[in-house]
Amino acid sequence: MSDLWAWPLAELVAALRDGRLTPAEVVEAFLARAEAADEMLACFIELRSEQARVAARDCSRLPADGRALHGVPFAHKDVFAGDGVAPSSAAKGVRLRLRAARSAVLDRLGAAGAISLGTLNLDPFGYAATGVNPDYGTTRNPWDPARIAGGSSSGAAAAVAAGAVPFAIGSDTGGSVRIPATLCGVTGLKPTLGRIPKGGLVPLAYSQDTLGIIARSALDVALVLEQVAGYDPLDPSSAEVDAPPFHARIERALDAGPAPLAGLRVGVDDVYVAQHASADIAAGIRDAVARMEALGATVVDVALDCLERYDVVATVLTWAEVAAVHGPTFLRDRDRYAPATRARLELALAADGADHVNALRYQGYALREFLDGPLGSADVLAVPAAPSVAPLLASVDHGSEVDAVSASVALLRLNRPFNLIGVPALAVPMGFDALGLPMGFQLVGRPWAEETLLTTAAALQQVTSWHAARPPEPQPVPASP
Amino acid sequence: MSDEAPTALDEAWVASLARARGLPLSRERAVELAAEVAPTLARFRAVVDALSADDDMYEFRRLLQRGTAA
Repeated sequence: MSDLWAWPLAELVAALRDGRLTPAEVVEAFLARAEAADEMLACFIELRSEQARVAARDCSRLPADGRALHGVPFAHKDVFAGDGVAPSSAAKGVRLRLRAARSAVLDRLGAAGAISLGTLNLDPFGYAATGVNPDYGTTRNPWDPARIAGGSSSGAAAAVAAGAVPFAIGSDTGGSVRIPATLCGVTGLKPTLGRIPKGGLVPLAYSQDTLGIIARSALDVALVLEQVAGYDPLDPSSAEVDAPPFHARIERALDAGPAPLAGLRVGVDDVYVAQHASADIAAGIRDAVARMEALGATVVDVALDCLERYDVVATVLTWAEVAAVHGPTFLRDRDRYAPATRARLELALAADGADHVNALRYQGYALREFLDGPLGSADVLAVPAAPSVAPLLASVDHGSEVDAVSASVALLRLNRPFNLIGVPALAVPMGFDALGLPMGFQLVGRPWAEETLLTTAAALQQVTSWHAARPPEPQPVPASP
Repeated sequence: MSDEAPTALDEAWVASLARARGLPLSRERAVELAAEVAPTLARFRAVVDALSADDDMYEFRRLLQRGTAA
């Protein structure tokens, strides 16, 4: 069972369902990898090994029928209330008070039979995009521990890439699922705003906070999405939109023939890509788009210059809401915040009430413009999710608060425009650079078009093996004497 | 960071804004923040100038739920 971590999630589920594997065997196999990965990468806040073993024993006594993720391990970014334990948000000095005692998404996963291995590391409060964390240790990239994992869901992406868990739950306010997924070479979905209930989440910016899923493949993401998506009457941001059986529908689409993407229009703006991404990333996107074309898709030119406007508005909107969430605490306990968080919160205090209202008004304006424009002529857009491969940690964390902010801004500006307008976006691996570091891009679609994005990525992953590539093995933790 | 240089007015504005919010800032930090905040807010205000008076903040959720601009 040494390679259990690399199994497609559907195969793992099937083996647990028909008794070829027991929950205890699966949990032990992943715990062994998680311990080794955490030692090398600092991806967990708390690895709850004993709790997971007890849950696995309890799980074994329950029928698998009706529990779609029976016995499947996972972990989550430490920003969710659960089991009476307040999340740390990966910040030791400050803990925000939540009214919710439980997380809707964790409850849904528990009801589906999934077993939590613990909580995952992040940039403090999720308010940065590098994974640098002075309180809990900086999450390292599994492909090269001298490099950042990206953030803010740094631990989630690193843990999945290292095979510590089959999937992880993160959150994405400006790219926090897609950035680390891209830099770590795994698949990460930011669904439509309101698709997954966010009750019990520590907020960052209410108008854009979105829960997301990181897994190795688009099919794995689809299997989890259908368990956690759907209306929650207790969540004011939850939308009354049904969650279809994504996984089965995507598999059917892939079985349809040699051109599973026939009829799909893929929008590309070469000028935008060239302006915002390295030559390697631009070449990778061209290659991925050519492969989609070979699978039946049609490539269309779109103009994405509007995204720079959306980025500015998303920045100010986030400032206003972060200031509302943290303002009083920050002014009282400023020195308890990590330096990079402190630097960004100081910026956030600049937005006033009128700025906030105007940014909220612009959300509708921008969404209408985008649906009429780029998403009027294309079904999916292929755009960069990071300007380059993962930067060296030494290049983003050398003590300067200004540099720390700049590193995050460079990563966020390609992603947060899609948080502003609430549309789904999926980070997809697209190969490796000359150093062997993973490269990725994102597919963006219309509201509620997650199935289209996941089908497109799954078709691409059916004819490539980038998503299945393995980073160097984490070093085993020496046995206790 | 923005490549637009902050003006002395920007620095004074950031420092007074921070004081109004109850946040003590050194002059050096006010200069740094002004370099980021003032140009970003100026661009933001130019962008939202495209809004009409009846562009409502609640329109976004309606559009998103419907999934189409039509």
